[in-house]
Order: sequence, then C-alpha cells, then structure tokens
Amino acid sequence: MAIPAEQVILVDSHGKPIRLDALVKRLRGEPERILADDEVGLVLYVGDLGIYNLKPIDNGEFLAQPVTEISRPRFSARVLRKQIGATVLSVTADAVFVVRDGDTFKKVRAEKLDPGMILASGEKVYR
Amino acid sequence: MSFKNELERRCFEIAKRALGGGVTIEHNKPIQIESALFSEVASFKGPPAKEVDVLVAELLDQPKVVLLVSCKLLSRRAEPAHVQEWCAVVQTMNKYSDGTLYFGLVVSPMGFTSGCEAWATSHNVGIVPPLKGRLLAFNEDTVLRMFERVLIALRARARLQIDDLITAPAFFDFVFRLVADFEGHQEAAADERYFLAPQRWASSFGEMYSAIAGQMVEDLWALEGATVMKLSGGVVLRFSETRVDFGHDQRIAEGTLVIPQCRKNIDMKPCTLEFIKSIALGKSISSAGDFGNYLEVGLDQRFNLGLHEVGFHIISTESPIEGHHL
Repeated sequence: MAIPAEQVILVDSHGKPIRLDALVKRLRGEPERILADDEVGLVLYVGDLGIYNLKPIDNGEFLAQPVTEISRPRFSARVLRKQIGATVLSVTADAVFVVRDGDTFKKVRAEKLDPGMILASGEKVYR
Repeated sequence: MSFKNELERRCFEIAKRALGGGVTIEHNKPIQIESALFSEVASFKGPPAKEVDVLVAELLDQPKVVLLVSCKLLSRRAEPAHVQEWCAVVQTMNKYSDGTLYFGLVVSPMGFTSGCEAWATSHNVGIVPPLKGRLLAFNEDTVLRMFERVLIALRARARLQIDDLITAPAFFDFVFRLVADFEGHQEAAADERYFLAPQRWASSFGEMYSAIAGQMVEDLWALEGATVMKLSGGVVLRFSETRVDFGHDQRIAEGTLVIPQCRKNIDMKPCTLEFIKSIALGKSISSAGDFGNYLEVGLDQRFNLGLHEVGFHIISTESPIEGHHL
C-alpha cells in the first residue's frame, strides 16, 4: 500500500540513509518486532529506532516523518506515477490521499486522483 | 459459552487462538463505566449503563489495555449507526476509565457503507474489512483472517508501544494498514497458479522468481503430471500446467516417478534426461518466464531450460544459433 518499497527514502536520526532491505533482514531476527508475518506480508515495528521517511516538498527539500511500522506486502499493487506540487512520485493504485472538496475533505484512491484536485496539504495534483 | 450466531463463535475462537486467555463474550452486557465519581454521570438510577453484545479481549495487563469488539452479522453492509454506537461505547468507557485503556473494533463481514469511515476515523475505532474507495467484497473467511491479523499485531504492538495509538485516527489507521494489503492478496489468490511451500500460501510470479533467482540447479526429474527442479539452498520447484509450487519443502517433489519427454534446440529434437542434466546441473538461474503450458528459466545467461508437464527442453541462447546446437 501507499508508496512502493523502492520509492521509500528512510534515514536515521542523523540523516544517514538506511537501506530498507538490509534493515528488514536485520529486524527479522528480532521476533518481538514482528507484528505480522503471514500470507499477506510482513509488518515490523520500528517506532523506537528513530527512523524517518523523507518526503520531498515543493521547495526541493525533504520533510522527515517518523516511521512506526514498516510493511512489506507480498503482493505489489499496480504502481502509478503522479505529480503532486513539484514532486513526481510513484504510488500504488490503492494509496489514499485526502483532497479538498469544497468546504470539506474527502479521501481519494491514487487511481481516482485527477489533475486539478487540491490535497489537504494545499498541494495541487498536476497529472 | 453461548453464542448468538456463527460469526460470534468464529470471532471468539479466533480471538482465543490469537491472544490466549483474557477473551470473553457477553450478550446484553450492561457496560458500566469504571469510575462514577463525576457529577455529570449522576442520575436517579445511578451511573449510566448500556446493554451491548461485546467480545472483550485483554491485550495487556499492566497497564490494562482492552479491545472491545462488536461482531455485526448483517444481511447488508453496516451503516453509520452501527459504528456510531460503538464509538459512543468506547468513548464513554475511556472517558470514565479508572486506568484501563479501551480500543474499539467493529467486524462486519458484509462490509461498511461509505458513511461509516468518517465516524470510525474521528472516534479512532477500527473497522474490518477496510473501506478502500471502491466496492470491494471480501468473503467471510478473508474478513476473519483480517480480524486475526489485527489481533496478533495488536497484542505485539501493545507490548512495545501503545500510547501513540490513542489519538485519533492513529488506531483506525493502524488497523487499516494491517488489513489494506488483503486487496492485493485477494487478487493474487484468485489466479490460483503460484503457491509457496510449505505454507501453501497463494503466491505470485515475482515471489517465485525471487525464490529461485541465483540458485543452482541440483537435480531434475519427472512425476506423473509434473516436473521437478531441485535447486541449491533447499529450494524445490514443481511445475504442472495448472499450478507452480515452490519453496523449502521437499514434499512438493514427491509423487510417482515417470520417464520424461526431453527435447533440445529450437527444433525440439528428442534427447534424454541425462543429456539435459549434463548441461543444466551446476548452472544458476538468471531469468524466468511463464508461458502457461511451460515454464522456462535462463541458466547462466547461456541456456534456456523448459519445464513442461511431461518433460523438459533445453536450448542454447548463444548466437549464432547454427553454431550452438546442442
């Protein structure tokens, strides 16, 4: 769901990049962190490790968002390319965005995200 | 233990399996707040109470964390009123709690109408199955697998960190993330072609290739209605026209041995299994393609080995073709 694994940029609290595959391999050895490991995929708890996901923003810089769980679904969903604000990113078709709808917000799947829509964050969808 | 319906019984059994002890189910249970020392809850009848059917699951003892589950066996999708009721129950229990932290979950195998999500999100109540922005129907077994996955993950999460799930919509999102990927799983499972052993989980071409890529071919043989490739690292792949089984389980390689039909080169001239093995064994898998009635793997980027239901083929991929006949 959301952003494909190969598109996720993870860093530690010092800003040093983290390789997701290596991290997952290492954390698999800590059973208490495994929230789910079944036919659907793997979910690991990383909330105490000071890991951040870097999200590109309009001015070319990155916004660091703390990550509590890492999910590795066994079945990848269809991937779409979207331009939101100045950022072009790959998202899975079932990724959920919150968009403005008049005076309210509503949730929209990436596959139904149309050019011209404005996200709750104020960013505009271009394509 | 008595159950109102089959859904309740199955939910209870799943909760017991997932959480061990601390699971109870109660009907027409007067839910009472833990602390009534608030003037706003004083009345001539005493503290407020509401009768509900509830599955109570203790996630953690110290501090006490309890999940209140509402199992909705309805003939159509649950409506906002069903979710609103549970939101009110969980909110009240938390507001007048004496230290216990309550989370709420609504399970409705028929799904939810779109208006339910806003109530669940704003009141931080989980819903199973998830609303995914398009009309998705999950069968009851899948919905109950979702429920089990949520319980197992929640129990593990409660032991690590639970406070960050208190603020809406963190718990709703946590449940959503755990069950959202069932959409992709359900689509893949519908294909019923690839199966991962020994779990017998529905799988995909991508996962199959990840399991065999780079592995060395150690042996080849044929069974009645299938061919088998044994690889390094203990990986086995069994091919028949209708399904491909692979993984670390030698049992998928079992069956009645038969003599395979073997072919070589583009013109598919007959050859022996020993001839194919003399080329294929010891080489590593460098590519793969599923052509429906046969599966072809590249070996050291020099040969293509085909697995058919009744035998094998081998072809050199080096150019020119005329100079590389086997």
